[in-house]
Amino acid sequence: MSMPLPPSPIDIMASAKTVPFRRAAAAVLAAGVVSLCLGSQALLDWASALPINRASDAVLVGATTWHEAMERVEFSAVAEELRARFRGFEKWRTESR
Amino acid sequence: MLFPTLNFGLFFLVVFFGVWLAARWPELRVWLLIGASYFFYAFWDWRFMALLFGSSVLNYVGGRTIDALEAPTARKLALIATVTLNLCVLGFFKYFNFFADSFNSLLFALGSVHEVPYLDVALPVGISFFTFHGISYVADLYRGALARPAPFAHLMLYISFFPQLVAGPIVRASFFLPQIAARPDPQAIAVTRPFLLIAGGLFKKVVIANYLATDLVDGAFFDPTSLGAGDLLLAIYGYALQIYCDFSAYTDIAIGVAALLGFRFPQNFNQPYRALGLQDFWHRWHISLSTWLRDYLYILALGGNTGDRRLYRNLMVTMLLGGLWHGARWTFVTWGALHGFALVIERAIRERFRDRPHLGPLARIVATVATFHFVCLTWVFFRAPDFEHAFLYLEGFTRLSAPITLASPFVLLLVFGTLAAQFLPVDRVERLEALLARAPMLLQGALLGLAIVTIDSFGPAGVAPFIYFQF
Repeated sequence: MSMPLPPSPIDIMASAKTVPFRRAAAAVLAAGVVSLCLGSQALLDWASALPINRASDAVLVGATTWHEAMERVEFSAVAEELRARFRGFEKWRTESR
Repeated sequence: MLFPTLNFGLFFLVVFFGVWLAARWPELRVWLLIGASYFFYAFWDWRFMALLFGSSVLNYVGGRTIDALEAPTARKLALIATVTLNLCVLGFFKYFNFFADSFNSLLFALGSVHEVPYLDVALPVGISFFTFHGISYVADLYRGALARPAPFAHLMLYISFFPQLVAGPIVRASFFLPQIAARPDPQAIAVTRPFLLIAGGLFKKVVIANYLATDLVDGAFFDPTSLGAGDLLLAIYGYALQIYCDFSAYTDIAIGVAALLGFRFPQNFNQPYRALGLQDFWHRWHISLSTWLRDYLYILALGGNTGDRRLYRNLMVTMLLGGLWHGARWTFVTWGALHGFALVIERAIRERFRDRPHLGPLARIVATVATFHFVCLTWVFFRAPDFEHAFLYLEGFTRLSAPITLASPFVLLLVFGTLAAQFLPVDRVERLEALLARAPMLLQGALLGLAIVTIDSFGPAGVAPFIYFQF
């Protein structure tokens, strides 16, 4: 019962820089918004794979509208460009085998 | 719900804002996190939510009993009873069929026609992890590392907290429960370092681990007889790095996610393949498990370092059980036994050369290379589904003249690039954090979003489950 505990494992967050909630929330929101803007196709794929019901229908309509809007402002082109580069990389990968 | 999926991203956004907006009401925050954690678990299999709840009830009652008793023997009996019940639940789901199979083999060898029936039960995801959390709670209470029993809601959250629920890290009760009880501080939220851990974890899992699996490891272990020594050596290097990237990715993301919610987890990996010996390796690999085994099994249950013979026995028992913890297979036990045996030998050598504790530069290189190759050898038993496959794999190392077919430039880049990353500076995350922290928070968030989309575009289609989910 009196046996001492060995020291705790290293707490790697102890020295991390911290910010107030407003700034943290802005950063998390920015990450979410950029992901959903550039990855609107992924959002559409996700919504299309939901089980069919009224709620998922509404989600799918929303995701489609969002994706179309991102296509209009050419945000989704960034992800398409990345995917095109990935296809080039895939080609290199399979040819290098 | 896997971390690198949109499901988890959307879930986390809701939880993040819900939890911090409820920061003024700590108990509401705790219940929100419990709700989120049970929802996360139900995504795997809602039927086992009752098991998770039952584990909390069992350890809560056990903890209250230990606290209420004063006589040392009675307290010890209450601890043993609670730990035994925890292990019975784990044993039933995880090991019943394993022991039934082993027992039936024995009966068959003795000429008996009778056999123990097998059970058709699914293994609840994360059962090994939440069972160890439960044991940590009652053991910490027993030995006074926790001053008093935790409120039921706090214990429920400790056992079910979603970032650590299905694959760790295993966080000591005395380390985590005070964090739940403390009032959250919305003025001090870590963001930059968690973002780096999350982006790095996603890259390690989605890109490195997945490609190592598909392009190198899976094929080699599926049919090792078709490959020569060079390919098999490359594939076992690949598996060593795949399991490292897969598991350390999960814990990096878990640490990052928990930190964004205001909780700190301990480090779980520390560049393990640069270890100078096996003891050093276990100080760097799955640190939370090796610490748990050391604290609760090696020291509390077995008595720790008490004389050479008992020390060596305790080391062996700890590693054998550590192997068995990973799965109900004799190959895992063999993996643990090999590590235990080598640790005993290493310990004896250290004792023999106690007066010369420091290694020269050349000896350090030799020690690192030897340790890495020994660990790789043991991974064969860890990865192979049975002994037959493991020995077929090892037998392949005699085919020295067979051509090397798997060493494409991409595979070599993955293997040796990842291996080289083990020797990056220890404070690499802190350095990156200092660099990135100069940018405005909005830009940091945007960069994380861009990293997520890029990693998603470069990874193979779909996301394979993390290796450690099966444990």
